[in-house]
Amino acid sequence: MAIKCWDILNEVLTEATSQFAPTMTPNYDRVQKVKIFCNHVDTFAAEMDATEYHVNVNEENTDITVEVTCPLVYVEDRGDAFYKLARVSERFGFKENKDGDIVVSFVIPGVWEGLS
Amino acid sequence: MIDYDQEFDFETEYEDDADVDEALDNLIITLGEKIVEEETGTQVIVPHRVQHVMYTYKLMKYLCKGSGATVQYFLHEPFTSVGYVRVTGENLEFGHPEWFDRAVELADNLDICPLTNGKIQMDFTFHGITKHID
Repeated sequence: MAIKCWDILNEVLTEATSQFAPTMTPNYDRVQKVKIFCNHVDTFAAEMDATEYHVNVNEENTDITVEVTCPLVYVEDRGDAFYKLARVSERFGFKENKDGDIVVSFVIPGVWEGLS
Repeated sequence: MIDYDQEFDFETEYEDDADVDEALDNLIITLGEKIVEEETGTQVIVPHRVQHVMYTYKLMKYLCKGSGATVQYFLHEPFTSVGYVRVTGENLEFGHPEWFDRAVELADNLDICPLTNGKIQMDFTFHGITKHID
């Protein structure tokens, strides 16, 4: 996959930030953590021969969902990117799409905080 | 221990279809012999390894509560020394990632694949639930 997770997520974050302004603003440290998260997503996608990314921000609770579509998921080693993603996610899930591929979704907390 | 490179001669450039057929037949026969060798003889249960299977089963049962997913465990399948926990459901979603992480850690591997009926199947495989006593 030539497209990087952060490229997509950064666009979505920028758009969401403009929506949440002026009451909420992105926290720099949280954005850095999301960048690291995206690196793990890219590694996971490469390991699983992923074909698609989908990123969504929940407007109510600001949670970020990253979905990765791949034909199979196989986890063998504790060093696998899946472990790292599962560990930093609030929750994650698996479902099948109409093409018979697996859509793995990882939900992480949003990067925004309210202005005091 | 099998020297796979030596045994199956992976470096060979096959001359024709018959060569490939023969190599594949040899591979199957050798693997079959290896399995028979593993399956014969007296084996005893490794209790703590079976507990890993049961722990994962109970944990997944709890994590899948109310999701409509089916959770099953199998011991001594497909081989005497192997067991697995199978989770099948349409939309598998998990909170408590640290608990899920623990289950994956106990298993030797986890594989997730789509089924033709629109469901997802997740298998946690455990090797070494029995051992030879000789």
